[in-house]
Amino acid sequence: MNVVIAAKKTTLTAGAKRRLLKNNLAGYAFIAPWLFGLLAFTSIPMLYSLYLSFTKYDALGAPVWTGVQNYVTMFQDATFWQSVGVTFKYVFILVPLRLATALGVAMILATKHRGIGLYRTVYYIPSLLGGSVAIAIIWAQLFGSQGAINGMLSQLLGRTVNFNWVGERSSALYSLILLGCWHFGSSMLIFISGLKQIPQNYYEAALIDGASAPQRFFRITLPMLSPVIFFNLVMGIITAFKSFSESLIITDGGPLNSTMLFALYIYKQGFSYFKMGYACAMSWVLLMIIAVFSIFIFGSSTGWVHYEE
Amino acid sequence: MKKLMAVLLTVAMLLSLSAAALADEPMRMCWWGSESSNKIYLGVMDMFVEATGIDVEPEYYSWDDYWTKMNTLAAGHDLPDSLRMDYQYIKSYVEKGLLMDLTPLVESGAIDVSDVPESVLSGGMINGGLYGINAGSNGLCMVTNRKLVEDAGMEVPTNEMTWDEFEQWVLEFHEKTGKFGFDMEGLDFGSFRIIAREHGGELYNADQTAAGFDTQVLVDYFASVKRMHDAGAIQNVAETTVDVGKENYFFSKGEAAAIWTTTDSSTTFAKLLKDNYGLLSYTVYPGAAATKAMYVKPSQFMSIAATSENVDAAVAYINYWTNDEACNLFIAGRRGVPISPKMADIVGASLDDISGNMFAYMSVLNEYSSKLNDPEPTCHGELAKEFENAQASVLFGEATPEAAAESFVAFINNALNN
Repeated sequence: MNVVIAAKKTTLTAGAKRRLLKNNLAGYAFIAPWLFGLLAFTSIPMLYSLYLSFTKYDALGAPVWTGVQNYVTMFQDATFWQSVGVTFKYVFILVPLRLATALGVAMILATKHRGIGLYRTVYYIPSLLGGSVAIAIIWAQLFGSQGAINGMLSQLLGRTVNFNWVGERSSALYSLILLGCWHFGSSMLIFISGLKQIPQNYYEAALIDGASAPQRFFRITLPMLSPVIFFNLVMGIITAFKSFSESLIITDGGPLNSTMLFALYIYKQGFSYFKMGYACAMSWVLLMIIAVFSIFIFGSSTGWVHYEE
Repeated sequence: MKKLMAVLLTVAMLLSLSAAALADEPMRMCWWGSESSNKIYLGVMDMFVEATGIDVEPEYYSWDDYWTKMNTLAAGHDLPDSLRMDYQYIKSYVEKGLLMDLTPLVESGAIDVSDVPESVLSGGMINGGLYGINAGSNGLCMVTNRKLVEDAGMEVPTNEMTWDEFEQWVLEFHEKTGKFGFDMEGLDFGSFRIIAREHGGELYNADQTAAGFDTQVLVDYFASVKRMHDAGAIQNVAETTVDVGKENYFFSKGEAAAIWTTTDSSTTFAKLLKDNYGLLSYTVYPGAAATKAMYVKPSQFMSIAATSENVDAAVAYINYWTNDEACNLFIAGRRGVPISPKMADIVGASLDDISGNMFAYMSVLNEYSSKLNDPEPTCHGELAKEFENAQASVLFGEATPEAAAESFVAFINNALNN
C-alpha cells in the first residue's frame, strides 16, 4: 500500500522509469500464465457478456441486437426492483451481523486453551457446508412450523407456537440471514490471525495504567484490527451481494419473491427462462452496485483504517 | 500427494485418448435423470450394446445441468446423436432446426411404430414434422389414501365427481378428522391446465399469443382454493415455500387424504405410504370427466440431432426402446406406459400391485382424455413460477382472487408477446 502511494506521488526520471520497467518485466513473466487465464477465461467472457447485455439472446440461437432494451425492461420489471430491495436488506443486515459474530468467536478462540485447534475446526465447518441441500432440509426442519425452534419457543412461552419461519414472508429472509451469519468461519480465521498480530505489550502497558476490558477492546484491539476488519468488510459485502445458493435451495426465492436475491433472479432469468441477454444486463448492474460500494468503502477507509507505520 | 494426483490424471487422460482413438465413432447418447433413472438408462444401454453390437458413449446430467449442457452443445453444432427431449423445450429446439424430422424414417419403416396409435405419436408432431418419439406415456391423476378416507367414514372420490363436490368432500374430511383433505403441493400451473380445459379453454390460445382461458375460470379456482385453505382443510401456504421432497409431503406422511400428481410419481407415493400401498385409489381430476379434460402426455421424447452422422444407430436405439420385449420388461413402466400396445400388455401383466394399479388407471385415463395442444411456449417455465406467486398471494391474503387472476392473465399476455 505504502509503496503504491509513494510511486504515485514522486515524479520519476527517465532512467529510473526504464529500470522500473526492467524490474517489472520479470514480474510480468512470472504472472504470465495467470494473466493469460485472466484474459481468456475472465476478461473476454466478461466483455462478451457486456455485448450480450445489449441483445436478445436465448442461449440457443444467435443474439439479436436490441440496444438498451434490456436496461429499459429492467426499470419496468417489478420483480427486479423487489430483488434489489431484498438484496440490500440482506447485505446490510447480514454483513455487520456476520462480522460481529466472527470477531466475537475469534476473540474467544484466539486465547490459548487446551484443544483450541479442535474448536477452530468445528466453528469453521458450517462455512464448508455452505448452501447444500442437506442444509436446506435442516433449515426447513429447524424453522418449520413443527420445527425445533418452535418447540423451544413453545416451552419458553408456555403455549403452542407453529409459525413457519422459512415459509412466511415476514421472516423468510431473516432465516436466510441467520444461515449466512452461521457461515462466519472464514472471516473468523482471518480475525484470529489478525488478533495474534497485535503485540501483547500494548495490552500489558494498558493493564498497568488501569485500562478496563472495554477500553482495551475499543482503544487497542479495534484500531489495531482495522485493516483486517476492512478486508473482511469488503469481502463480506461482495460475497453477500453475490449470495445465491441459500435462497435457491431453501426457498427458491419464495414466498412471493420475498427472498428473491439479485443473483438468484439473474440465474432464473438466464437459465430457467432463457433470457440470457437480460441476465447479462442485470449482471452488469450488479457489478456496478458492488463497484460503487467498494469505492465508497475504500474512500472512507483513510478515516478509520489504521496501518502500523 | 499432489504429484501422485498429477501422475494419475495424466495416465487417465492418456488412457481415455487412446480409447477414443481405437473405437470407430460410437453413438453419442445423452439424457437427464436422477440416480434411479440413470440405472434404468444404463441398464437399457448395456442390453442394447449386447443385442446390436453398436457402441454407445453415454453422457448424463441432472435436469438443470442437462439443459445447460444441451444448449451449449447446440450452440457449437455438436449435439449428441441420440438425445432426450422434454415437452417444455422440444418446440424451441425444433424451431432452431436442431432436431431431425423423423417422418421419412417412420414412412420408410426404419423406425417401427406401426402398431402405435396416431394420438400417442402426435405429441412429437411440431409444425407438421415428427421430431420425437414418445418414450412412454404419462398422465395426471388424483390419488386418494383409501384407508384414511374409509376410517373417516367417507367414500373415496369417483371419476364423475364435480369440482363443487370435491371442495365439499375436502372440507368434510377435514371437519371429521382434523387432517388435511387435500395436499396442495400438486396445485400448480399444470393442474390448472386441466381446470382450464374443463371450461373449454387451454392455458394458451391456439397460436400462443394470449391466455387461452376465461379470467373468471381462474378467479373461481383461486376463490375455491382459498376457501379450503382458510378453513384449514389444506395446509397453510407457508408450508409449501420450501421444497422438502416427496418423502415429507403431508400426503406421504398420511396427514392428507388426496393429492394431484403424475402417474409416474404416483407409484413413489404408494411406496412412501408403506403399509397403505395398493390401497391408493386413482381417479381423474374433479370435474374433468364430463368434458374429457384430461390428457395423456409423452413422459419424454427420443430425438435425433439434425447434425447426427450416426442416424442408423440412433434409429436402432429408438426401435429397441419401443419394441423390444426384454427391454420393456426391464424398464417395467418406470418411464411411463410403453407406447406400443403389445408391449404395454406384456409389461402390465408382469407388474407388482403398485405399478399394476397405475397401469390399470392409464386405460381409464384414456377414456377421459382429449388431444393436447402444441408443446408449451418457451416462457412456460416463467409463467408457471408466476402462477405459483399469484396463487400464494391469494392464499397469503395479499390479493383478492379477482386481482390476482387479472394481473396473472396480463402477465401471460405480456410474456407471450415478447
